[in-house]
Amino acid sequence: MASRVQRTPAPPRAFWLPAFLVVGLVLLPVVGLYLAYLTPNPLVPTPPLSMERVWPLFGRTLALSAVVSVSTLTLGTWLAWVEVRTDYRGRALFASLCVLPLATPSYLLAAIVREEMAPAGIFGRVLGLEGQFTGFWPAVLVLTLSCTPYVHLLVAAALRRCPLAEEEAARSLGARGWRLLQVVWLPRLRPTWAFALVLVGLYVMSDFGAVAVLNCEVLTWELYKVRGGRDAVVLGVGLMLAVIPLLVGIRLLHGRTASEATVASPRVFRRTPLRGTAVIFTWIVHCLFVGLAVLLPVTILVGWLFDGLSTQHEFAGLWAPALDTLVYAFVGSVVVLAAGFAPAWLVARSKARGIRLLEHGVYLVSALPGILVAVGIFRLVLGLKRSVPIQWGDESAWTLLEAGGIFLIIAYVMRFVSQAYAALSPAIQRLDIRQEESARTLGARRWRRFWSITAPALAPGAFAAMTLLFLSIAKELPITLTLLPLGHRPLSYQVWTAQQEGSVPDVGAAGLILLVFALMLQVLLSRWRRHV
Amino acid sequence: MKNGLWIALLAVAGCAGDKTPPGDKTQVTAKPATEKAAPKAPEKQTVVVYSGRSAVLMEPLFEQFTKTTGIEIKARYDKSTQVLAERLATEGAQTDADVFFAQDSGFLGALAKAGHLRPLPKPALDRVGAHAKAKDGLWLGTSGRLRVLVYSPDRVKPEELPKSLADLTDPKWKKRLGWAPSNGSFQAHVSALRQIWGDDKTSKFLKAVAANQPTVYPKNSPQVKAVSNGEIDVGWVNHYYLHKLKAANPGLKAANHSFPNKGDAGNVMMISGVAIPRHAKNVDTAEKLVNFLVSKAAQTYFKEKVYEYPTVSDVTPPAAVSGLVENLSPVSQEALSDVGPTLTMLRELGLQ
Repeated sequence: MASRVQRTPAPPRAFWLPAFLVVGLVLLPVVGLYLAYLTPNPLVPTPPLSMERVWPLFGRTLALSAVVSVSTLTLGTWLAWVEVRTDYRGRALFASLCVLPLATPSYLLAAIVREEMAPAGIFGRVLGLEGQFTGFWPAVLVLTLSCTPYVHLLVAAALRRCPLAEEEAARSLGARGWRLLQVVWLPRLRPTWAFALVLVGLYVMSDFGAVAVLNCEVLTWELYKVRGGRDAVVLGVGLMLAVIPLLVGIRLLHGRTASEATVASPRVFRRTPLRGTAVIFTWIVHCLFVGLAVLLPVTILVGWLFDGLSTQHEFAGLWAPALDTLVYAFVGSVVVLAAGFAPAWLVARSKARGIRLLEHGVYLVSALPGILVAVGIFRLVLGLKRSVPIQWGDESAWTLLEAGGIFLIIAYVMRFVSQAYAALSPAIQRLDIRQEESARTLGARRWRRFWSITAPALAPGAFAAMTLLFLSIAKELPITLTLLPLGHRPLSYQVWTAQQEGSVPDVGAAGLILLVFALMLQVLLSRWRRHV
Repeated sequence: MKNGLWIALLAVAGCAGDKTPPGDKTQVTAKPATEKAAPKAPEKQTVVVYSGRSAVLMEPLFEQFTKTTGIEIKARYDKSTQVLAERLATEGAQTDADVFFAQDSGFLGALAKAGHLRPLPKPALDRVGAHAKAKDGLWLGTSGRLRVLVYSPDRVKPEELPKSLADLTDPKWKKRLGWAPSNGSFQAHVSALRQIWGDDKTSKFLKAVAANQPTVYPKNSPQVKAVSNGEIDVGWVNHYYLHKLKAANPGLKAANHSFPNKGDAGNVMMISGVAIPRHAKNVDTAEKLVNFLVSKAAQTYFKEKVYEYPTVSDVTPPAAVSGLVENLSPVSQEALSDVGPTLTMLRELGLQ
């Protein structure tokens, strides 16, 4: 092992600058908010948001995070348990289907829930509901459906890692039921649960689309509403402060859950067969979950589309939005993947002291809520236009960069670079250094070695990462909404504007394309995860 | 270094634009020397619009303009006219906006007051009635919308409907109303109320309506849908959303109601208007667009497709809504542009 460490070639020096630039991006929203703070009198001076308005926003944001974390933990753990520790007809199929809700954008699910839970909606009529289905509890429902797969995947992985020997030893000493849970499972699952709680908490605190559609007054939605004024500074800083404890928690707990992997047992668990009412109950819960989060949205969107066709609704164009989605998601995923390469390579190959800080930096950049990144960069661009006017011919250089989508792509890098890093890092660590050494002794230069040995070895992981990035960018809403260049309108933007206009058939058409496309990519990703 | 990078990028772009295959240069040199160079295609003209009016409403009209003039429109849509106006003001000379299209006159007035606008072309100003333009000629109205209540005929009996806007404070409307305090039209209506009733009465009225716990919407059109699908019984909106949504969905269960009292504070005409920023880069094309927006063709579009009131005399109001103007409250559009104190009032009441 020691000789292998000694043989590890030092990473190219040229990688340090892009790596630090990527981590340095975290400063952009901060600078943007600072420039917003420095902006002289706004156009229409109004009193600042009072703390009586701000505290309830904080409270509601924290409460939403807490409630959704607990609900997803309960449902996700149960789904993981029946997948890993039990056996029943349809188990493998349901296990695959339960991951699919990751493909459904939360704002689309929220639009469907809001519309169909209204008194005249399908469920509103059946359930006899009155008034609008918006606010805190509808947001809890939608975000629980959206976040449960994260907990499910994490807990299922933790359950698979639990050493069988410990369970057998406890059983041989007479431990059963609750006692077995207490002495074997709880200590093993606790770090994963803590990590899942914090992860879901951060996701919920960062969510913009679902809370906006459901008009749940939390920090992200309010920040979007005041993005042009001075109040953006207060709410932006407030949101930043709210997520920092969660970010620290995630980094600390991530290390702890990862260390659990070292005690993995290669032996296969004996699954408990489910029978009778237990099977029926399991089927019902799975059907409800997958039905509500995936099948029903697809069905309802098809229904909305046909409603529009039957009433000869003048649909908004779909070709240009679909093309915009493809172009931005493709360019964005390539750039984000490239941005993740230098930090991943350095962390894997460098022996510099404190190199792990670079990894923490990458995760910190991506953990900032999308709306905070969007508003921060939006205000940065405005601040630069005002404070550092640069002309390129007749045009403002900042406007040219904005029109070229440069700020949008930078924001995508910030939001998703950790996904690229997480996919590339293990692939780089798995590279066989001996092959590179052999090539070097045979006289192959650095680029030749990279293209003939390193690139082919990294390709499968990089391709899967790019697909995931493509999917994430295609669904992304707050950054796209805020920083989109003039004249472009991808599908996520189209769904949002149609929902805000109350044009249900247009939500159906654009949403259906987006959802089917996302589901296809999600299925591909799920298959690759098993092989890559 | 920076210039070098740009030059390199432009050089690459230039090479990419050259479709002649590398080995095929003879075709170019083989052309007879006497052959005249093809006339250079005129540079495509564009105009950048910051639009507080939605893409759904404006794009067909913009396409018509492009078809007529060959000028391409690049539009930045934002449902918040306030965000667009603040953006324009912050950008100053670095703005790319050539035309500012506002949902209501409030922020047009604010921009004019802060010196961010330039005078509009005289032909356009001459076509518009005095009621629908700024005295200094810095902005003009392109169409008018009436503030009305939209209600559910299934759940609200005609005799139950309020006779005056002030009746919305009646506790019988508790949890049955909808409104959109962050919307430009709502804010302009509050400015009108301040002019008609004064600040004190307006503030008390808003507080009393808020006590009825109205459902908050981001804008008007979702209120019309909300009435139809049973979320609320009554919404406080502009008149044309109902007609537009009904044209798309004849089964929509909603109707408009304007207050029967002559000159009632609820019967206010709002002007949607347009201006040219002081630092617009394409003033010629911007003026062409402004002229187009008050042309007969565009005004007919506003009348027939959006069901709004024209601001020119040679286009008559839409028949479907002509009755609504009879009881209008006499409020000047200049008063509606006094948006600052209105926003302060809404903020102090916790509505913004």
